[in-house]
Amino acid sequence: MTMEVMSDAELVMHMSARQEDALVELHRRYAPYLAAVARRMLKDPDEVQQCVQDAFVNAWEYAARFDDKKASTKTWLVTICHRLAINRIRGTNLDTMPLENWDAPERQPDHVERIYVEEALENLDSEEKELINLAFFQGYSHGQVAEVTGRPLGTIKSKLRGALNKLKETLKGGEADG
Amino acid sequence: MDNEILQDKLLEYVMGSLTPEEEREIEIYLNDHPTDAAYVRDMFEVMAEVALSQEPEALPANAEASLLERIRNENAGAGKVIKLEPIGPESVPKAEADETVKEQATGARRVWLGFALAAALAILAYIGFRPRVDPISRQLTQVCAEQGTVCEPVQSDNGELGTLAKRANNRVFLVLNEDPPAGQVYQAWEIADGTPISLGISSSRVFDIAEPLGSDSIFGITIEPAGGSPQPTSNPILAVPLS
Repeated sequence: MTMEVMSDAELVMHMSARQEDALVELHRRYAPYLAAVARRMLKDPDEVQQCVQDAFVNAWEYAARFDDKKASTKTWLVTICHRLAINRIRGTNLDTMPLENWDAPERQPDHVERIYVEEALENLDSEEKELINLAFFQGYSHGQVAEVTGRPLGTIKSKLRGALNKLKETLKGGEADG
Repeated sequence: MDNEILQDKLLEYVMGSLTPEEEREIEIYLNDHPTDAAYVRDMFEVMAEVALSQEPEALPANAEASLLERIRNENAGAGKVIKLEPIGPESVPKAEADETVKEQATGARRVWLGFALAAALAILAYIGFRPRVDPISRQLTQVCAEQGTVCEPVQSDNGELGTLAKRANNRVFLVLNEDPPAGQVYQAWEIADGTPISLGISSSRVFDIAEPLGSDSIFGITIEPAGGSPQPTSNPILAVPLS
């Protein structure tokens, strides 16, 4: 079987056996998306590319520990990339980072999953979108989010919980309908 | 933990805003709380979906070649040896001490070699990786996940000292929060019938006691001069009954 037709989880299994073709195929599938995540978080193009490469090197090294019962391959990769980007952000001064409004991605009719996500994001109010942007994409702690938004910490926490639960419910609904 | 505080911590764990120590506590907690673990997995999946909804970015033409070159170079460096400080009991017969040192050094070397290979890499324990976590926390998380292991924080009057893992067969793995004071070492003791027996010294904050300890004994830690002491010369900072 060629790597192109393998599932993501099968590719990770082959990576754990040190098959570079599997890494190359996983990189082909996900690197552009991880680059988009890193780009949103890091801005500097060189740092973005370094972060994406670090993420795949991590995946290569720890492929044997991947457990598809605990997370899907794409979640595993995104979380690696996100954490590496957060580590890089923490080396910078958060106070100097610009606040961004949530930019909802444009619709991609050929990507059903992305449509579900867009719909889920549409269900959030502007404040919830901003909080997720700050906490997830900008790497702010809850306390820092409270500080930069001027809202009480308790409100930030409950709003974020509510936003994620709302996303979860919408996405689960999308899966069930699909 | 209060439920609302716990939910906040779980959310911060997903968002990546906890300290490594806090992450380790959450991971230990999740190992024993499958409902909360499932919630965390769901939240990771949700945030991954949100992240992947971004427009994909074009990669540099050499991205793939550069990645392959890097993993080949790092694999080539996997055999480099990290110098280990021997950890061994000073007050036990040499042959036995040598065996203990060998066992401990082998285990430690495995961990350190793994981390040397990883260099800038890592794992987030709950879903299989943790970026740039220190190898000690990683090893503790692994030990705590072993069947039959009970992990608990250990306290002193001055606050939390670290985490003690009581493993199957009365083996002990201890991670203290701080390294010993400069010029001194931690020394581990098994106290049976009131008599302390040295289990070894460490100039780091980790003890991996491979030998099973007596079920009615006490496991203790003192701070001693460099090289350790035949008998404790200070009050224990930690004394935990193993029964």
